[in-house]
Amino acid sequence: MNRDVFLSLLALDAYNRSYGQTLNDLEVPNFDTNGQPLQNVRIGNARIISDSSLLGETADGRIDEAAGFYAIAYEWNNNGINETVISYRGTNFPDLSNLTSEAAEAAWDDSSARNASLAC
Amino acid sequence: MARIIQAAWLALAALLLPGCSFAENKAPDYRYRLTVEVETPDGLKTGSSVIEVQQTLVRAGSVPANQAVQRRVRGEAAAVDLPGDKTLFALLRSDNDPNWASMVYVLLAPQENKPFEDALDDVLEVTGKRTLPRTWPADLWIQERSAYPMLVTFGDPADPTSVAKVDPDNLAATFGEGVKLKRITVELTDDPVTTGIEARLPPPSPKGFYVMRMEVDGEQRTMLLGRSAFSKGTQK
Repeated sequence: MNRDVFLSLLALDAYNRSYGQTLNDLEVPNFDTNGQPLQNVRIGNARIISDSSLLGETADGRIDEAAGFYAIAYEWNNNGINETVISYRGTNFPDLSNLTSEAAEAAWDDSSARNASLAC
Repeated sequence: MARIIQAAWLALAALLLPGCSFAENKAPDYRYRLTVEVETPDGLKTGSSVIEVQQTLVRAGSVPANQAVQRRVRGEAAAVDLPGDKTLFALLRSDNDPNWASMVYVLLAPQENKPFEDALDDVLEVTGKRTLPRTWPADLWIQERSAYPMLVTFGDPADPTSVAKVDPDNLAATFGEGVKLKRITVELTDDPVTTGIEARLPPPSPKGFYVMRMEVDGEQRTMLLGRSAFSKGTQK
């Protein structure tokens, strides 16, 4: 498989693992006290070796989940060469669920005004 | 070019008019009682816990144009007191799924071919006391996996590194002859969320982990078990 395509798959895979996963039931291994995976969970030739659950937990839950962050690391055997790949998610997308046309136009006008001032 | 971008932006905004499904959160919150029944030489022993699942419609992180349901759990493990001063805990996670408590009713709900937004409240159709199957069936790429919460006990109730995994098909191996899991049930309820399990647990490590001993491929291993497997969002 093309390298860029597989790296894109691994980038997408971060959205489909652990808490808040977009696709349900994709597995993440459990980890031992040394942070090593207890199960052999793979996507293609990439094996999951760590994730941000190891950052720890408080009384309110996982630290990574509280921050809206998730990272997962793979060991990828790419034609005999072992590479470590880290994928992460957590972009702070604005909530567009209540966006009205008036608000969109106001945002556009604000952006246009700022761009115009930069062009001067 | 600016006119084209502006037209596209306004076209996108026009698709998101008030009253459309993106603006209305139709994924209901709900509570259910998780109950574990164990047969012992001293008779039937039970333990239960009320767990809350909070559902919110959000943009799917991988494809922001799509919707997804974000689920948060508030509640704690169910504890069953057994003979010999032992306690069986049914956690908020399963063997393979740390999100188990938020997904039980989704997997029990009728699996019908209907639009996403019409299926959001299907969990509320799972009425009455339901006995959990032993496994969820295989589906597409997903293998058959345990439908039960992870069952554990403490070898030493004061030692956070003494958690031992309990085989639901062989409780006698951990608790002695005559101890057998009868069933695990769930039932929708309006009762308040159960709290207080922390008083029955040793404090976890500074990073919030317990250590569980378990067998993996015939080998004795230790596993980090997060405190959120025992309780989430219930401590004051």
